[in-house]
Amino acid sequence: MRRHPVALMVGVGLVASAIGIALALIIDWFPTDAAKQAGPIDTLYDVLMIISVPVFVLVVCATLLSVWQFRMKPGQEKLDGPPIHGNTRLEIIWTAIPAIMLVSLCSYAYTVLTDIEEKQPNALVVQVTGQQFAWRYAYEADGRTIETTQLVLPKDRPVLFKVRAIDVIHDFWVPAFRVKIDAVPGIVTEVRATPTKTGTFEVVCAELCGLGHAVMRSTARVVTPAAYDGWIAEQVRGGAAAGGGTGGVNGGEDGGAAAAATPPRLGRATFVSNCGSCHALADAGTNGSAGPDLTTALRGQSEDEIREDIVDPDKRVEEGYQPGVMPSNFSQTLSADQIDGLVTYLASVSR
Amino acid sequence: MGVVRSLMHYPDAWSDGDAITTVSLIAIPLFFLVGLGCFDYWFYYAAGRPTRAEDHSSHGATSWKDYFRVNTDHKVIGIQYICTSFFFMFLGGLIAMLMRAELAQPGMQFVDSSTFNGLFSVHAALLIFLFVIPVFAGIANYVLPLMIGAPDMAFPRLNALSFWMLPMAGLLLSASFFAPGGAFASGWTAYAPLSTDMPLGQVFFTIGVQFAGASSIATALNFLVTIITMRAPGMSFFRMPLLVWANFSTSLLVVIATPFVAASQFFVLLDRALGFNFFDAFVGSGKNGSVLMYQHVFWFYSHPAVYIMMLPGFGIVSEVLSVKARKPIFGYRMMAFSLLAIVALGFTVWAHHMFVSGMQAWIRVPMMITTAIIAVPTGIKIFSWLATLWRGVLHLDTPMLFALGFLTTFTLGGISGVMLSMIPFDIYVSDTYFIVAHIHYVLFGGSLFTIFAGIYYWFPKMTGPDVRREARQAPLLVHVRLLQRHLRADAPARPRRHAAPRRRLRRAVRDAQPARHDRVVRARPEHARLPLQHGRELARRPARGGQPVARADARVAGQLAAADLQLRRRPDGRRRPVRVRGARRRPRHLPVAHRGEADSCRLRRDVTDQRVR
Repeated sequence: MRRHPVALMVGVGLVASAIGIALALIIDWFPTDAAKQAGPIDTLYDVLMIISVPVFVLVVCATLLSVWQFRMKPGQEKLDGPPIHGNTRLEIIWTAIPAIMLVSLCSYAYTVLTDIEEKQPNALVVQVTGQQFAWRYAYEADGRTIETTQLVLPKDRPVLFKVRAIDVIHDFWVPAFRVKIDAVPGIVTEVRATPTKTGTFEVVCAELCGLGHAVMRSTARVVTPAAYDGWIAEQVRGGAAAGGGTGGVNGGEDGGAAAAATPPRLGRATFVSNCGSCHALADAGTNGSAGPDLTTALRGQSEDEIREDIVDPDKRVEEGYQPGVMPSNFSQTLSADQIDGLVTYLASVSR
Repeated sequence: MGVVRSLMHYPDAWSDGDAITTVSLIAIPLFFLVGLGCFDYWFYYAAGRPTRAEDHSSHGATSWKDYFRVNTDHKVIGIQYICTSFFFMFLGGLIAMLMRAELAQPGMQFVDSSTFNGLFSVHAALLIFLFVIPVFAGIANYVLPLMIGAPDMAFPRLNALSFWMLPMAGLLLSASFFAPGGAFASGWTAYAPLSTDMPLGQVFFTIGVQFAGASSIATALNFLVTIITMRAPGMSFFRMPLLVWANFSTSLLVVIATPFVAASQFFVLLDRALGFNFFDAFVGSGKNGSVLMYQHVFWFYSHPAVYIMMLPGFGIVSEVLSVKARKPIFGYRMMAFSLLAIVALGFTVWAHHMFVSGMQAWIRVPMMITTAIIAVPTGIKIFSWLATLWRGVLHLDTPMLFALGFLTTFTLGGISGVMLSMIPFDIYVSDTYFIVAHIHYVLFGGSLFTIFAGIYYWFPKMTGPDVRREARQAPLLVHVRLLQRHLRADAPARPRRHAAPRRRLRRAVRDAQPARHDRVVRARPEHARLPLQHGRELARRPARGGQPVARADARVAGQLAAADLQLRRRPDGRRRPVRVRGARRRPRHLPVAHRGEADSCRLRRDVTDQRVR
């Protein structure tokens, strides 16, 4: 009489496991995979699900079967179960089998890890800097450093992101690439990805970094290698002309090369590389959404007011936005020339 | 602190609002504790006044007001713990509902982002430090001395002090919403340097955690000393109930790990208040703080903390399942060893919280292996519980249903934990809702279900009417019992041990005055046959038409007699060193049997009290 319910439960368990595994595998749970690293990680997830679902089903089925089969029936109020205190063979089995399973899973995960973190010979190095609450990127090209707020990557070329933070911990994460790494003040962390699809993908901050954590977003644009080379060339040219194109260029760390340019041009370049990730401004071609849209918000502001908004942003805050989100240290991180340029530039476009 | 700050040439060393608040937040709870009388004996001792050893003569609460005073009775303290922590659970739950309301739609509706960050930080801090950890301490406070046959905890006054530090911690954490700049909004993890850079609310967390941590360290020491030194004679370690084992393991974890969280928060406090720059690595500050150090120190506590929040629940589930399945626990020794294995392994896995933190890459691999391996002892426990159910007689009442719910939901949490231990998958999902789901499966499906199972299971024991006051309070008693029935919807179908045990006891006492063991070991014949797996049941079950067990199973009676003899005291108050031969040669299954003994000792002590009066 006992055997029948057990057989039934085994059947139910098999069906339930099959349904669970099918749900895990057939439905596309994750965002698009746009990097070489995504494939192995997604496969690892599939393998983990194929193993996990039956374990869970086993526990649930055993519980349900016990409840069904061994629940107290009327008249059994005074009965006790048999005094079984253990079974060494059974205990060895359920110690050994999970241990073997886990060790093999670990070995598999280790091969995936070495796979996704494999060093590539001709990797493109992108410097990523996180600050409250924006991402900035820097490329090396022709001996110059190109600073921008837009991440542009060539398709099919391995990229090494060197990640820094200037204030608190952030986390650089492109969900479509699967990989992420903390941006830690004081040290440089590294993460590798090889984009395999062109398109625009979101960059997210994944480590709580303060008030604006939820709006600390940016985009990664993956383009064909030719388009990337064109973009880089445009950046370098723009840098030489101090402000053409969509990105600014600083010849050195102190922005010396750009300082020779006229204030509005320097201002535009500074805006694109420092402000554009949060603020939209039609003239500069930026489309950040964390802060107010400056195309409209700046109308009618004097130069003094604009300067105050930059160096002391919490003094007056646009309606609908909260104080404390915009960094208050621009008077230290930007040179006086850059701030003057910004003010001149913004005053000129807001008129 | 003002002195230190002025020595260090701070501007406005004495009048800085932050500094004043920081000092007050430390001082006010301490003064409150002094005023409450937690340190009375310290002052007596210091002033040379006679101090009297705690003889447990003034035990218990005689009115509801006693629950609001410093009381040294472990049962009163247990109730105080449970009620306080449930209060903070409701608070934390309300905060969670606010969060979900805010998240129901994109954009901000009810709160701004700073308040939202504060909400989830306070939610986590309250539920971890003020609910899950202390409520287990409360339950164990109540039942653990009963289970090992101890008259009380080893340090009753320390016990009272560690309870009273909790409301202080809870009020600090909750009051942070009123601080200028809002509540601490850096998560319950309070990662530096975000936490050193936060508004004043952060200090409430930093100091609140010190009080909660001090409380749980003191309680854990108390449990350790109680378990090691105050077990009833004959109760060896491998005869202890699994709940005692679980609390023993938990206390080991707490004593070793909790100082680390205290240290991490002291670092933050020193950074904030005195500019120590442990973690200051801001670009341009010129400081060389080590940001990762905070995470290592913090997680060296906070991973074992997960086991601090789980192991007592394992103990409760072992009790409930074996009693409600009417079978001894399956694989007792392996259950105890797996607890110890979890304790040991629990200290080797902390960096799996830091797979994407930018620490040295090689550390991740050993941490992955230990993290995965810790699922083995946990699996042993799950399978042993399932085997305990097998062929039992399952009484599906409320505690049992919670315990079964725990089995399945906790399995889900455990499996997702194994998935998270796999580095490449963790790199993808860390800092996402996968983690949130995992921790809530473990702490809600794991800890909360076991807490409810335990509360429902021991609720009648905790609220059971007092023998001596029963006559006076009969009308009230009816209401209490009605309330009990409302809480346990199935009560009419289950007249077993939960129904006001002490009331039956009195009748049993009257019947059994001449031969006291007889009273205890009488039971129905069908129970007498069994190898005392429900010793506690036997002890509790009154003589009603049954025959003395002694006749059916002399060994059983011998054991109980041994416990009884050993509990009798000499006139000078010391235990009489009685060794009963029967107490030494016991069959393998005794751990379960012993529970019965311990409890019966307890009952008998009540009897003695009564007679003295």
